[in-house]
Amino acid sequence: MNRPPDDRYSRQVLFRPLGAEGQARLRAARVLVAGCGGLGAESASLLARAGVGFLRIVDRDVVELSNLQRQALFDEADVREGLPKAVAAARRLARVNSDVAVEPIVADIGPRNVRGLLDGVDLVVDGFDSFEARFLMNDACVETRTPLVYGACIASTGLAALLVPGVTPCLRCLLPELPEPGSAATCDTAGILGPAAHLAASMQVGRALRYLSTGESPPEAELVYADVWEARFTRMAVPRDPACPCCAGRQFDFLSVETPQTAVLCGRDSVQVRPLVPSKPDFATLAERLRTLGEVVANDWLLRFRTEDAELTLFSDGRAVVKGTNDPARARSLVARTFGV
Amino acid sequence: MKVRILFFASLRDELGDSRSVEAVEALPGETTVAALREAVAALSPAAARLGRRLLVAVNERYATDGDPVRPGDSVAFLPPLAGG
Repeated sequence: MNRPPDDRYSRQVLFRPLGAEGQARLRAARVLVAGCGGLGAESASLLARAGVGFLRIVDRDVVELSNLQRQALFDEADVREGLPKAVAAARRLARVNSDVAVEPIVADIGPRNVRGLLDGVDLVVDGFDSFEARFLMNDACVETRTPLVYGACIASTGLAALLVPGVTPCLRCLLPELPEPGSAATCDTAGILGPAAHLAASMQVGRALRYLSTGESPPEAELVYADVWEARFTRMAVPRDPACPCCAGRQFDFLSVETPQTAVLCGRDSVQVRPLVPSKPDFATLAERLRTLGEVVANDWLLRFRTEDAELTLFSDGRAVVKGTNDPARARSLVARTFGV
Repeated sequence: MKVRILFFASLRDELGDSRSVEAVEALPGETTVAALREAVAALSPAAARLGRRLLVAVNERYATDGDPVRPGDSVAFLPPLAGG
């Protein structure tokens, strides 16, 4: 019996529409996983195991105990170490498939950095948890003609669709009426079942593997929408909107929005404070100073400081997340008082 | 008229399937996506909140307010999802 040269991928190479040629294309492919939560962690795992050659994983958060119910890439040790999700994902994936180059980036994706994150990338897998971030990425993907696999989930429901600029509709063709900021339920407010997140991610990666290994894309987006609790599936063919401001008019509203300094992280009793001028904080000096005032945990990527009624996490890109308040003014004041920024 | 209605996510939580079918049967003959959307919004606060942001598929195709809905059609109401 002839053994295939690379046993690792033998089972998916046997799948004829992919085959050895498709596998070689996957190896040459470069994918951005934008957000590494319920969707992104599962997508990253499936993409790495499938042998996609390069993954850039971007996420702004650290691994928390409430993630482990659905995010199979992480474990209790990551929570104890206070690891950023992007770093924990890269560590785990290095053990899963050492053929794959993983670049972890701990950052909040915004208008300032999104183009740089897309640099050299063939496709983006959506792992976001807000409409704002998705519309921003949609603008950037249409501008740079980068295919985007839209995915989202909430409660027991998930959806996915491949959006290829110039071929299929974009996200704004699908959702011409923009959601009001903060109006949509999130996994932190409405909950999420692991299978719903995994199903959405699996459908996303299914689209990604097909597109990357064959280059094929249908002219209409096929949105798949599923409920794992009711065991119901439906699909919807979406045509391009000839009047779409984004992909027809090439008007990129979300790329030009100035990111507000603070953002309430809905359902998490937290506020994120962005620095006015991004700079890398000096964790060692800060840790030394703060140790006399409260409990400090510091590693290469973040510094966490606990007081009686709040927990402040400062990241290496200068962002801070204040847990224990939903008041932006109080969060800004705590950050200024504690970190002096 | 009779159409097959599918509700997903927050609408399914509020409506299940039975009440919606009765509401749709009360509509005369052929109708439009807009009229159906309005009928559903009267029953479901989630649909009312979403307004035109609620995605509607008629026979598994994206539909806008002016599109017709005929007896026997399958109509799915799909709230846009934000989580991840």
